[in-house]
Amino acid sequence: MSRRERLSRVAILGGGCAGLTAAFELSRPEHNGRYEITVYQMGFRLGGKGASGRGVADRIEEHGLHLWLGFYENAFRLMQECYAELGRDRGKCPISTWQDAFQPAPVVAVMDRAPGGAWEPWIAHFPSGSGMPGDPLAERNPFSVRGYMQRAAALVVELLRSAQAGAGGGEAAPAPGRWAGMDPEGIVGAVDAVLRYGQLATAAALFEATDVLRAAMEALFPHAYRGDGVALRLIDAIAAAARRQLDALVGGDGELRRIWQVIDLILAILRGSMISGLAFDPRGFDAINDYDWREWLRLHGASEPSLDSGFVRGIYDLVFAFEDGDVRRPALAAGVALRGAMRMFFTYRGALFWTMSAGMGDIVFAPLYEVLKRRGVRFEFFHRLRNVKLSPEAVGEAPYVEALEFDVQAAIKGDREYSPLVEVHGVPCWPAKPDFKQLVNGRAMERAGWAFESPSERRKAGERTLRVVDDFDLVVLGVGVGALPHVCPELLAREPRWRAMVQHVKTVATQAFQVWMREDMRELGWERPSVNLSGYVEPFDTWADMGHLIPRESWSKPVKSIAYFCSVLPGAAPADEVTGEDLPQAQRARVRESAVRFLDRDVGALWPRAVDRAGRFRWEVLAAEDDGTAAGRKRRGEKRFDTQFWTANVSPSDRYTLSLPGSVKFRISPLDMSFDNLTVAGDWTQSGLDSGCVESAVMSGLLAAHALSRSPALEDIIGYDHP
Amino acid sequence: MSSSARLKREPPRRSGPIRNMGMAFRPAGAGEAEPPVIDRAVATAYRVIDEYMQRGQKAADRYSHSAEVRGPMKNDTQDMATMAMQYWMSLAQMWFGAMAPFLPKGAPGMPGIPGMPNMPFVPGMPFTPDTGGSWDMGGPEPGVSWPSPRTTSERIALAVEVSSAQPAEVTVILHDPSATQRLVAQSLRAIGDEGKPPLSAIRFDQVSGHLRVRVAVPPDQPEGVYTGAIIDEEKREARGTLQVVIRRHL
Repeated sequence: MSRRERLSRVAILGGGCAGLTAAFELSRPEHNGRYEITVYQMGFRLGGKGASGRGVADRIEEHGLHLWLGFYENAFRLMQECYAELGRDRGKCPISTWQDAFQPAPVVAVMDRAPGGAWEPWIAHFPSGSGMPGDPLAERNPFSVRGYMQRAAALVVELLRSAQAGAGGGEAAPAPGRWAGMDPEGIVGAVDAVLRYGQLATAAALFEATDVLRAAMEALFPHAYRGDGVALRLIDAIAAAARRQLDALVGGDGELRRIWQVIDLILAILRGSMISGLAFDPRGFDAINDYDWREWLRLHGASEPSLDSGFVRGIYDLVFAFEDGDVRRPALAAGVALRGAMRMFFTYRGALFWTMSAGMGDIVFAPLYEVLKRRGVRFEFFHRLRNVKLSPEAVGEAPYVEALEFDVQAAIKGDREYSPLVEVHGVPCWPAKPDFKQLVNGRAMERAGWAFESPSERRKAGERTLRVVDDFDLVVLGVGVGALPHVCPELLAREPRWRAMVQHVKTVATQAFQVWMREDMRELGWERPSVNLSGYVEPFDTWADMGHLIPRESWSKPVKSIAYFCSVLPGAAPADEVTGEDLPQAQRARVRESAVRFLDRDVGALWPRAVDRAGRFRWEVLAAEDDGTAAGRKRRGEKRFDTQFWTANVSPSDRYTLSLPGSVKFRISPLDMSFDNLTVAGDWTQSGLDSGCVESAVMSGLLAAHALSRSPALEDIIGYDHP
Repeated sequence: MSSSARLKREPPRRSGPIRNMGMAFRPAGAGEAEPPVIDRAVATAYRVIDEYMQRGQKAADRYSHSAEVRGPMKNDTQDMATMAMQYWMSLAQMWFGAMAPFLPKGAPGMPGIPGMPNMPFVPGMPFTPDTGGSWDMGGPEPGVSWPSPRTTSERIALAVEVSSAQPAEVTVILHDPSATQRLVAQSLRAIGDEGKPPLSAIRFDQVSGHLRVRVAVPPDQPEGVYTGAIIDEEKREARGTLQVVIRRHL
């Protein structure tokens, strides 16, 4: 076989979402086997930050709470294709299609302080968006500043209608849409007339104004999208009226107050989009990425109560947007936030949120593993990347990866490939611990407590060096950005932009705990629908009711509810300092302490009957598999918490990728050519979405595949070309 | 180990997302009913055309001044025709930008501007669209005056040869390419910095029925984004755009 015809051997370093997406694309049958792919993975399981495992009673143990948003078009398309190709037998496997794997979660809540200081949830049910995420789109990229702004203006009208109805509707709302079709001169005249209505003193006038605004956004093109037109005057007038309403409602009805807050925020977005010229800026929303999201909203007129609302805090919680985990320092690039918010609220399909029907490892990474294996992709588990070695500097030649150096953590008996999955109720799953029986000296390793996924575990069974040409041709670097200083020092030394990226694209440690309980949510005092809730107190601001997972687990005594909590982990060392022997264990102890304190002090606001009269958590509601044993009976009080699951995600690969103001421009694209046989993949890269999430990782994996094979076409990556 | 024995990655067609081209003016959603403002909103476009006319006039003034400074042209006829085409096209593009959302989908092409209604266009004179057809908001957008190559009915192989001592990324957007066209490219101007020398060593030719564009980047060319139009020399029609991104050396 000539060199031109020979296979390209691709080494994928890291089996997270981005790396496996790249493997999925490069192993497509359309490539006719051109790429010979090997995934190198530390430890015994795939998934990276999305990895999960089955522990005691087959309970699902996650890195944190994983929710999929209804705009994750690329990620859902990957899952749709994966499950279709998998072709599981529905009679044997209860999760055989993507619809089995994902469930709509339309109810979302944020916690807010009532004027009296008490916490109260604001629960919103988002209606079904047309179509299903991942289905083909009528247009390739149906996203536009203009479209978003028109939808935002229309939403103001609807919210105002809700507010008016909530307030008793003292004045009849004018029929909506009466200004539609008005010629531009007529619209301008209408704006002037509206502005003369005594500064929108009446609800009817305000309603009229918003309807005119909607019409203006549609008709006054392109003037309406510049920051000097009549639409801006109108927005300013409406915003002033909205703030007057907000001031009047400080001590009033909570629901009304929240509606006005959302109107206030949307008007700030509209105003800011015009003033910042986002519709015309070649950088799109990236033009405002040096601002913090709240700073940008404040700059464009959002009021302080709106900026402090659960609605805004919930966005920060959703993406762990706290620098160094310090909740007093919220920081989120405004352009990334605006893009995410527009996609999240205006382009979702099916449901705003989706939950998984089992662990993320079971739902996402086991099916991907099975499909990739069938396609001939090889998996080398227990390979801890130690160094990416570069070629010597040469004038006129781009540097390239010359060798990949690994610690081999364990050898597999019989020189076979490690078989990583277990079956739980017919579903292939990842275990929480490796199968030591498959490992050479496995029994001794188990006794000695080898922790293959811990950054402080340095024991190894051997070493291995792969050399370019001999062992590989192309490299997909799919490790977390926090790990780059440890495994790619030569790349950082050679390329200033890589150094800048590592310096500016920061990560944050996160914490999570899960509890299984003998009482259901109603018995615990949560009378509302099953919900995902954020914006609550630190140290655990986010809670999700995960009771739908109970049938997937194997408890000997009934478990009636499952709850996941997560948030940033304040005070954890920066990624490049996590080398200490005991640091992960020390941080785990901190998480335990925080979780116990949270349950004992704060959970009563959510579950009033989970606490006793003194407000202390009733520890006996926690389920332990050994409840019937002497050891189980000994666990009383907060010691019962030790039977539950908690995690401190402090290792460099486990930390969450932030989108800090001023940092996004330092990200490196998978299309970058700094090293001519290496591309990058991960949610820390310039993925188009540029945020820490599954969709961003999948987009990055698609881009990495494109960088190596020209496929998929960039135009086929949904949302990559986006303002 | 010889570096020549290893496989090398080819540079991708582009290195980042498109943040504004074609997106900023796209309709609100696929299949979404648009309000019946279209025919009246055409009037809005008339109002902005005055501004665009003034911009075009200023651009022409600037060019004539610079032409005086540079001295006589080497090929008067061709350069004058190209220059006229460039300014006519720039003006039409700007006007087209304002009109794009209101154009009928599938309208026959206006000479020189693919996708434009096929009727005479006289700068400064009122324009009356043909309202006989069905209207929707799916027309092309300003900034991307040329429909994507994917929409063309004819497929043709296009080879791009770049001679550059610096990393260079070339993007060619061609509408209705054919092997028989005689294409020329305008000198490519640096976006946002008129002080940078233009890129002018651009040649189109045909090789075995394939279209080939050759771009020669001088060794001392400053880094930047250079862009210009591609012209069908015979028909005097604009056929697309050419963009070259020059980066610093690794």
